[in-house]
Amino acid sequence: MSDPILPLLLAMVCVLLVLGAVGAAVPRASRQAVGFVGAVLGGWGALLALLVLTLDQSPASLALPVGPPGMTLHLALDALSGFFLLLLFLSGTACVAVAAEATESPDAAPATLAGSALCLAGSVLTILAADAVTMAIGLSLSGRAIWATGTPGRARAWQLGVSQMAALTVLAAAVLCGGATFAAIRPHPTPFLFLACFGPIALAGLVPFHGWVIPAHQAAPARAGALLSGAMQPLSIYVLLRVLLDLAGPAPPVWWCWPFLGLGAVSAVLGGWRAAAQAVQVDSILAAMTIRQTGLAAIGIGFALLGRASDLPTLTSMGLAAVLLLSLGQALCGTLAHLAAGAVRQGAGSRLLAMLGGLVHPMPIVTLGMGAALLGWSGLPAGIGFAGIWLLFQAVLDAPRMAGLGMAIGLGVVATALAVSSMLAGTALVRLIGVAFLGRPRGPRAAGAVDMAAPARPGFLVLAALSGLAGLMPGAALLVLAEPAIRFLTHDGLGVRSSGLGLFPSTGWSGYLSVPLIAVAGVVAGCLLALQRRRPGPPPRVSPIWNDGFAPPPAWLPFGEPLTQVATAGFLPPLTRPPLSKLRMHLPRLDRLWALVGASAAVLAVLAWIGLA
Amino acid sequence: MSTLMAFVAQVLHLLVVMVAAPTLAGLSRVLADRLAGRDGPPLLQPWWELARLMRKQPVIAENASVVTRYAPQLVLTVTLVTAMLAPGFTLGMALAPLGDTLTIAGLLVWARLALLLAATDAGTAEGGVAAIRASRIAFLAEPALLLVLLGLSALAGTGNLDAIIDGQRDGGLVNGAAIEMAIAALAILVWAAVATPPLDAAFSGRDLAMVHLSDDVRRVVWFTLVTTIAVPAGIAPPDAGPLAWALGLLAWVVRLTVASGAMAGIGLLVGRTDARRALGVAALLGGLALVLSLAGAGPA
Repeated sequence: MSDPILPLLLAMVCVLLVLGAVGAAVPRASRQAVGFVGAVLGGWGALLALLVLTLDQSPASLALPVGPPGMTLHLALDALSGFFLLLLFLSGTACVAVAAEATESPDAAPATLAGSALCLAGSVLTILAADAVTMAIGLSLSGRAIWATGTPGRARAWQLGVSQMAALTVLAAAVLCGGATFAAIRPHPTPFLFLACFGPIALAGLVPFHGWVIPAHQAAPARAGALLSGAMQPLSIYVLLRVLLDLAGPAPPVWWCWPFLGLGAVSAVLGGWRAAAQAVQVDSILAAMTIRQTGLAAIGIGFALLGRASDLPTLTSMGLAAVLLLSLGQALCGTLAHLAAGAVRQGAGSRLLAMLGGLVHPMPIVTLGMGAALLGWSGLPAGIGFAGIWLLFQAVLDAPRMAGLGMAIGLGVVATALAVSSMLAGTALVRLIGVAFLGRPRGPRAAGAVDMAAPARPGFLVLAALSGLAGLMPGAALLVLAEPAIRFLTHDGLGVRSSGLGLFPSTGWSGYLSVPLIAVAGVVAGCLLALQRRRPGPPPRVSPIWNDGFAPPPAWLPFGEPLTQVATAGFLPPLTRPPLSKLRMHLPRLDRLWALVGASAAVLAVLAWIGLA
Repeated sequence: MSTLMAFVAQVLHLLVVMVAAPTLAGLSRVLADRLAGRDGPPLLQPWWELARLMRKQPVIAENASVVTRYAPQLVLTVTLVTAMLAPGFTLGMALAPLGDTLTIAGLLVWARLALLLAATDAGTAEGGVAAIRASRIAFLAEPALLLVLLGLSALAGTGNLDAIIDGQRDGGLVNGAAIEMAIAALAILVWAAVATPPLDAAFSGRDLAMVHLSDDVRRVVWFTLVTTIAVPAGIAPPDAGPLAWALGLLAWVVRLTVASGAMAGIGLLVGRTDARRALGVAALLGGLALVLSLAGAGPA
């Protein structure tokens, strides 16, 4: 069944390449037509991927008699590729459909259109690749395509460097493993495969390779930023899954899981912290949230590896379910949020939070989309992010017990990182929505903002609806979309325990039942509204705000005194100086939080020494 | 328990919570004032205040958006759903399968974030500063709550609140030290949650009444959670009849009264302590409880 689909997908890559080649040269008048063709193509691609997932998951492969001298390119299609192809096409279609209408800066648009098509082509090639050379070509092409759209500068160069490094590490690992094709590597995995992870890790923005992510998102136009966050991040997660859980065979070394758990925990907290406390631009908050999302996915990969190494298939499938759900959330919400940020940049003239404010009134559609995206990223129930974090918490509970206090402390640290990270995501949501979209405008451009152009709205709203639907029914999303991929990776037919109603832990009958929960909330809210309808009190009176004695703004300051509204600072307590610098200078006056961390570490060390486990 | 009885129990539970919420708020106020040597307001004062607010005309800021308009409904809805998931007088209510601890924590976060957003909505200085202050308090409280709940789930082998309480009732969860730490952390969290006033500056009239009612319900939920997990004595088992329910109701009322007396006493002792300092201890205890429960016994 997959056999006819693979050539179709290959043809699509070719069309996208042609589109990328001619996109830059298309005259202004027919640019919309090109965008339309791109959107239709992407939609078809998504449908094909859905076909692979629902109808048949038997792997198909194809060898192309082209490529570098003396080589043939190998392509393959299985359930794992099908899942990520679906994400890629969803994100790409939305980008093309929304951004073909947005004339962000007139001269940059054609290059961006071409870049998006080429990036999509490269990403599809990466996912279809069945040998390291094809994968490297795809990674390199997509990275180069994004590079071509950005504003010149160091950030863009870093982005290019990181994507080329990803291609190189994949190639190098294959060379060290002694074979280019995956079919040759799979029976005899060697530890060298771990080398192949460094590039994708950097491309996904995992700490310590996260430095390039925020500047690159700022330098890229909104559409390329959306692809960088909504397509390239899931793409790197795909490469990691392919290498670590497919090619590395059934028994990877145990230590492989620790870098992922540790770096994932650090990234989840650091990304959330950047988003909630440090970033002052809309784009940089979103990029920081992408880093956080990468961290969460890395924790999921770590749990999957831990489960495989310690022979706990439930843990593996729990971790994989979390990774796939988080990737789905990233593809939907990352794309949506960056497109909304592009609309804000264009319609309100700035991306500095301190220049925005009150955008909900002139830009209701964009506000809705941004709200949906942040809900999907944060850890709030009925958002898809909550489902992912919930699965990760279940994985903590499923992890091997009786493995000593060291293991328990490691798991405790990961759980703490998850908890802190979900709090930070909520704070970032309040900070971005509360400062930029609610309140009063902080400048003339924000007061005169215009909403997204009407032709761009349908694609945008469909994406928002999809992310809402996925959050509402994460169990169904897992069952329909992710189950085949999990079965493919776990080999033993052990899928996730989920139903249309919600998600269940590995044992027990009760879990996160999103659909009944929303139904109950709906009934309660309906009763409240009916009560209110029945006995309507006095109608509300709208009046000017009382601002603690600040006079209404004078004529020469139409937006009032800016200092009467809070801005971006202060939502979290400051935690900037590293603890050591304080230790050296005034030892007795330790910062309380660091004292707390130190105290807990000391108690744990004592417990470990006593040998409590 | 038959499905019908489970539904009856659920509705009864919700009604009891709705009646208990303002009364308990009044009781807390009376107890705090009496302990401080003041006369204090009458016990049913919160009821009169709610009734007065319901009659008043709400005033909405010019600049307010749909967030301010619907936040009170949202907060009350979410809080009531949370209340329905926390068993008070009997186990095995109709919505017990939904009572996942992490979900309950997520619902509490929903209510908090909705109020934060509403506080920033009008664009006043006071609202923004209040939002920032509240968000700084949550910095430690929220992770601590998640860790405590995860620790309890690890101890009980399930994340379901009903099952956790049932395990406690059947002779206690196995790991003594961990559960005591978890309960201590939970008690600190309850104290901090009850001691911080709700973010209600953006509302008036009926909207304010709804926010105050949600705050009262939230207090009942917190007190119920911590006392039922700590001392589940008296709570009716899943298949009990009305007689056991009556007993469970009595035990619940006693638990709530004792809890509010204890909170008033603590409030008198510590005075106006910065909640964040106590929350740090709660976070530490929560983390330790989780590590101990992961390291110690539990389903292997």
